[in-house]
Amino acid sequence: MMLNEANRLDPISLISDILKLVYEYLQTDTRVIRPGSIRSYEAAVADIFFRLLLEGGEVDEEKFREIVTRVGIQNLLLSVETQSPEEKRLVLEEAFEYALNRAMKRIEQKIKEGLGEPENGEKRKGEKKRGAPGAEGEEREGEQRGQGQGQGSARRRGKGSSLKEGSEMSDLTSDELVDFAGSKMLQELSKQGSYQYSRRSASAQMTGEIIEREVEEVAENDEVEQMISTIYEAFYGGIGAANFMNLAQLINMFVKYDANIIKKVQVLKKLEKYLRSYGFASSTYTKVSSQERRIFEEFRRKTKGQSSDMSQIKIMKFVGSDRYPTYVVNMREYKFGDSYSNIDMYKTAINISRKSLMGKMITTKDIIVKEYANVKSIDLVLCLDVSGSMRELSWGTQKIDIAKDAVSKYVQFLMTTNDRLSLILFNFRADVLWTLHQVKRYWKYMLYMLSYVYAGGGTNLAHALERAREVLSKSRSTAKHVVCVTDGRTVNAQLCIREVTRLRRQGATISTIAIGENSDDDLLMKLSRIGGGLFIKIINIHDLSRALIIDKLHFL
Amino acid sequence: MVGFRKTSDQSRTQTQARDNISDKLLENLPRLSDLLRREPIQVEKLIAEAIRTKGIKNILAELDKVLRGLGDVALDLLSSLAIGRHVLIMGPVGVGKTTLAETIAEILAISDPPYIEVACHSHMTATELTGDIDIAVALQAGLDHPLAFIPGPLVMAHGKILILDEINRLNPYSQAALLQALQEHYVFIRGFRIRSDFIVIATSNPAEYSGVYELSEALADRMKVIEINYPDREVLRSILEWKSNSLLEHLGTKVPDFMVEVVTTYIMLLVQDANIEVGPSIRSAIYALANAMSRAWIEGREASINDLKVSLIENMVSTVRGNFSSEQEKKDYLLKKFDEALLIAKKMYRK
Repeated sequence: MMLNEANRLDPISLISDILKLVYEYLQTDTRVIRPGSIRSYEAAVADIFFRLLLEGGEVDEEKFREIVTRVGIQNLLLSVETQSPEEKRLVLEEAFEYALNRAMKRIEQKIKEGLGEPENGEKRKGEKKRGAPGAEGEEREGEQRGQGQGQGSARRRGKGSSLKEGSEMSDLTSDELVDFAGSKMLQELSKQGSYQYSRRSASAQMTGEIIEREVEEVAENDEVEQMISTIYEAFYGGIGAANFMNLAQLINMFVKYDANIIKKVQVLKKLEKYLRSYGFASSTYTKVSSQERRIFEEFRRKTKGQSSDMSQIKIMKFVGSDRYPTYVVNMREYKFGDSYSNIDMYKTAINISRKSLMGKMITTKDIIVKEYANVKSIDLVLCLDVSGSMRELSWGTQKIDIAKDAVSKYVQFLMTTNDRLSLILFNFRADVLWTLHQVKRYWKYMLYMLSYVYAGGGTNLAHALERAREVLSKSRSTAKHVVCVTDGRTVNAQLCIREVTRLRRQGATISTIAIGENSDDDLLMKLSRIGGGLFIKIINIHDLSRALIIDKLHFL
Repeated sequence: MVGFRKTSDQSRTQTQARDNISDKLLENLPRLSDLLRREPIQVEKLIAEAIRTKGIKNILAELDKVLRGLGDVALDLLSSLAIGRHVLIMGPVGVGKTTLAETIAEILAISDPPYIEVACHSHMTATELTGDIDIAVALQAGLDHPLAFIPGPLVMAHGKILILDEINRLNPYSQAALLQALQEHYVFIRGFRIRSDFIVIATSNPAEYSGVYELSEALADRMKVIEINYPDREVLRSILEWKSNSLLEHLGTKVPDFMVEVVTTYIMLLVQDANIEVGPSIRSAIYALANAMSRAWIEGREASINDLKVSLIENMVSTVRGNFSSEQEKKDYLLKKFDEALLIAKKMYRK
C-alpha cells in the first residue's frame, strides 16, 4: 500500500532514482570494469516504466521489485562489463537489491514526513498551478535527498517537471496511461539525461580528492621531482608557442617512441597526477556549464533523430582500381556486392559487344570480375590534430573532447576486426602516442591513454606524416592506411605532399578528414588524391566518429 | 509436343495475358526512386498503438494458442518494443525463441507483411543485408527499373519488425552494416541513401554453442537481453502434452499421460545433469513423443515404453552435448538416464 502511493506519486523519478543507485553501486564495486552507457540506462528507465504499465492494475511491492530487477538487468546486461562474465548477472542482482532497499527506505521516510504535511490532493493542485517548473520541485527534492552531492540546476529542472508529470499521471486510469506514455516517452527520455551529469560531477569530486592526497604522499620522491620539473617546463612554455608539448612527446621523453603500449600506459599512470594538477586531465577540468550543454546537445540530437544532419558530410573518393596492394586470384562472373572498380573492363566489353551483335540480352554472366586475394587485416595509422585550435568550443564542449570521443568510438569499432592501429598526435611537432597494436587485444590501454590527450600549440601535418611513415616502415602487412584528422592550416604544405608521395610509394593509402571552415581543403584534397583515399569534409566536429567509420567501411 | 500444336492465335493471347500479369507484378516491386523518397516512420508509435487497440489480454490470449508459459517474457518483449528498444532473445535451442518473435510480430501486425526475417549465417555479406544494384539490368533498362535494384532485408524492413534469427552468427562486417542502419536510420547502397526505420528482434544461442561471433559493443549496447530458460516442470508437462497431441490429431491417437510424465522427468534430469552442457530441446522432446506414437500407429499396436526410449534417443542425440568421448558413450549415458527417469516417473505416477 505504502509503495503504491509512492509509486503513483512519481513513478518515473522513483525508477530513475533506483537506477541511479544501481549506477552508484556499480561504480564503487571493484569487480565492475564499465558501469554501463547512458543509452542503456535511459532505455532501462523507459522500459521498466512501460513494463509496469503493461502489467496494468495494482502492482504490489514484491512484483515491483521483481520487474524492476529483471527488466533492468535485461537492459543493462550487454552494456555493463565485469571482470569475469560469469559473475555479471550476480553483480547486477546485488546492485539492484541494494538500490531497491535504499529507495524503499527513502520512500518510507518520505511518507513518514508526508504524514505531517497537508493532504496529497492539495499538494497536487499546488504543483499544477505553478507556472514555471522548479520552485516546489526543488524544495521537495531538497528534503528528499539532503545527502546528494553536486546537484546542478539542469538536474533540478528535470526533476521538477518529472514530478509534475508524475502527479498528473496519478489522475489517469491505467488504460489512458499507455497512450499518455507513448506520446510523452521521448520527453521523458530526454529528462533522464540530467542524472548522468550529477553522477559525473560526484565522481569527479571524489577522484579529485584522492589525487590531491596522492600527490602529497608521493611528492618527496626524487625521480618524481624530476618529472615535475620537466612537465612544468613543457607546459609553461606557453600554449600557442612552438615548444608546447603534446601528450605523445611527453610520454616519449620517458620511453622509446615504439615501446609497447603497456609500457607507455605505465608511464602515463605515473604522469597522471601531475597532468591533473596542471589542469590537463579531463576529470578535474570539467566545467559545469559545458557539461550541461553537452547533455542538452545529446538529447537534442536524440529527439531530433540523427538523420537530418547527414548532409553536413561531404565525401570525395580518389580511389583507383589499384586501391588494394594485392593480386588477382581468379576471374568470375559478377555477383551482388562486387565493387564496380573490380570489373574487368576489357573482357566485359568484349562479352557485351558480342551479345549485342547477336541481339541478345546482357546478363550478369557477361560481366567479369577480378577477384583479389583476401586482405585480412589493415594496419591503420591515425594522425590526430591536437593543436591549440582544438581547444575551441563547439556546442559548449572543447573540440578535442569530442575528437577523443570519436576516436574512442573508432577504437571500439575496430575491436571487432583484426586491424592494428597506431595513434600519432601532432601540434607543432608530432609524436607516436602508441605504435601499431592490435585493437582487439589492447583497446583498453588505448582508451585509457586516449582519455589523457590534451590540446595546444601549432599545426604541422608534414611531421605527422613523416612519423606515420616511420611507423608503417616496420609493418609487413599488405594493406596500410593513414587517416589524417585536422581542423586548420598546416605549415610546410610542400613537405606534406612530398611525404604523402613517399607513403604512397610504400604502399600505404591516405585519407584526410577536414573539420570546420578553417581547414586547408585544397591541400587535404590533393593529399588524398595522391594517397588514393577519401577526402571527407565535416563542418561539425560531432560528425567525426561517423566520418572515421565511413572511411574504414570504405576499406572493408 | 502438345504445347506446340496450338494455333498461333491462341498462343499469342496466352503470352499477352502472361505479359499483363508480369507487368502487374513488376509494378508491385519497389523502384529505386520510390525508395529514395521514403518518409520516416516511428515504429515504436505503431507498436504502442497496436498494443493499445488490441489490449494486453487479447495479445496474451492469442499468444497462448501457439506458445505456453511465456506470458511474462512476452510482456518484457512488448514493453521494450513499445519504447523502440531493440531486443535480443537468448536461450537454448528449441525453447521457442523464434516462434515467440514471429508470433508477437504477427499479432501486433503493424504492417503487411508483419515482419521480415533473416536467418543469419557466418558467411553473410553486408550487401546481402542491404541489397544491391544489378548492373546488367541497370545498363539495359535504366536504374529505375524495378528489377535494377534488389532490396535487402534492411531496406525491406522499413516500418516493420525485423527478426534476425541467430544474430550471434553474424560476422563483424555484416554487423557493421546493421549497426549503421540502426544508428543512422539510413541504408547506403552504392551511394544511394535509403531511409529505413525498423525495430529488431534478434534471437541468439548462449555463448557455449559453436560458430558464434561476439556482438560488437556498439551493437550490443543498443539491445536489451531477454532470456528464455527451460520452463518449470508443470509448464513443461503441459507444453509437451498439448504440442504432441496436436501433432497426433490427424492420426486419431493420444499420448498417454504416463509417457508425458516420463519425458518430463527425463528432460528435468538431463537439464540438471553436470555431465551435459547443452540439454535436449523441447522441440525434440515433443517430436520424440509424437514419433513414438506414430511408430506404434503404423504397426497398428499400442505404444510401449520401449518405443518411447528408441524415439527419444533418435530425436535427442544430435542436440545434446556434453563431456563424452564418443557418440556411443553419449548414447549409453542417455539410455542410462532414461531408465532412471522411468523409475522416478513410476514412483511419481503411483502417488
